[in-house]
Amino acid sequence: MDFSDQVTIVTGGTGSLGREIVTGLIERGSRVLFCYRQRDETAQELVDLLGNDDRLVAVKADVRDQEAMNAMVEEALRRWERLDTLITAHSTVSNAPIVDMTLEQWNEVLDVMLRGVTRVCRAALRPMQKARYGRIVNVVGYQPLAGALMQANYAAALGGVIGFSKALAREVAAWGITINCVAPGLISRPQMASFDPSYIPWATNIVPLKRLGTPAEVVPAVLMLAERESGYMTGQTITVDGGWRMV
Amino acid sequence: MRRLAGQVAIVTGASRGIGRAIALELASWGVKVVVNYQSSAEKAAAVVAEINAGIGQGLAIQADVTQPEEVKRLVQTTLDTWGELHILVNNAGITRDNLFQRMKDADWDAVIEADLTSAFLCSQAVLPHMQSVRYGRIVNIASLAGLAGNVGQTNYAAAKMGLIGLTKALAREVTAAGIVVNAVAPGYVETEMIEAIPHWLRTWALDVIPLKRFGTAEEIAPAVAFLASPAASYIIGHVLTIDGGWVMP
Repeated sequence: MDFSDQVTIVTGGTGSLGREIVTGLIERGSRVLFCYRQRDETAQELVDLLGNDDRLVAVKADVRDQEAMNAMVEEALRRWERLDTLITAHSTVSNAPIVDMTLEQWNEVLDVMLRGVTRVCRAALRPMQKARYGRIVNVVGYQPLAGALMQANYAAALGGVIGFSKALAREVAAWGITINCVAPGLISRPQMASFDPSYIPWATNIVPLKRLGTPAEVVPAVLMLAERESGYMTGQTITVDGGWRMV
Repeated sequence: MRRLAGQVAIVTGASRGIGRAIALELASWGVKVVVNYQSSAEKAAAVVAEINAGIGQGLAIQADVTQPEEVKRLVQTTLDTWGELHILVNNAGITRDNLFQRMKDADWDAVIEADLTSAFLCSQAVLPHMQSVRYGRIVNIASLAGLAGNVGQTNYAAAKMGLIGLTKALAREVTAAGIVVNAVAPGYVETEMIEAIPHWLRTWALDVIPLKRFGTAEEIAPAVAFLASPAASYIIGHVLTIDGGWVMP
């Protein structure tokens, strides 16, 4: 997989998965602009680690802000005069049993996870249409496909991203733009340290591979869909879940 | 066929189209049906009149299902009237079609609220009762547009696929309390909603659908009634597509 000469924008670049995606892209030659919301230190560490030749730029920008998304795309175009690929990997959760979930919790997660994707897509589509080429990969999750406890908002928002991606894939296919999703299964994340101690043994047991996935193991599917050669695949959702569900 | 005799259902958006057909179908199975509507009072009254003229018992209740207080009133009025509630059909929905890059924020928000958030609010409102009696059936009306995408419907596809995500998350949470949650995803169905689609899209759709015709609301309703019945006790988080063979997902 060669991304030399290409330009990629990644949202949520300081997340555990976002970091791996950014790293994978840089290793394969892409120029990368990633955005993040809060973690200035993590963003700087990533830039220091990987970017010593002006191929990696971090932008503090919130996916809830359309103007910020427009400015981020403008920044990539100003620097490198092209935009080949958009990868959305930002994430936020606000978990609660559905009977206790407030409308604010519901709307907050929909705003970041679903509207956030639409905002950055809106910003990125114009240069892609002009170039008659584009790759968009939206990282979703198993929740809309398998259900999940205390995550009705998250499952609805990510299901929304899948539906949106398919509808948009039909609209922009004529411009050579493909849109696909990757749905990671049970992936090891730092925040799992705060979960109930029974979670990891449970998750490990139900997955045929008998272990959680790592963020790095999700990256190959993301990059495959981001490749120039993946031009005939659009509107799909690839599941990377260690064989958990096999559907 | 009155195998659901004595049960009570709320069907949201039941004054016309698929919701109307679901209300009539459930009534024919013996269910007392709340015909919820937002603005079409006359049409809702006509559905209730049709039910009450020999099929069973119907009751029209106006409520905007995007508003939490109105949803609570809808459920409370149902319980005050009939004392029970077994079935919720989240059918209410709208479309505001446009190409994504021309779509106004207001049109995106309106569809997400009416087609997705409404189901969250209504489900949340019926759960305390259903959990207390350890029985319930929730059927969400999704769409093939969610499963397969559709030009001009990024908002609608997002809402309907979001509804499928909600269906599965909800199913995981409440199955242990005896509450069964599923979805039905209709393809093209002859209703007022799709009279608005452009001629070229109609021609294209009729060409790609193996049955070479659109469905009718009456071809959707029996599947909803089945999923709303005790017979569906082992069907959990399922999405039943009814599309004339269009997508075969």
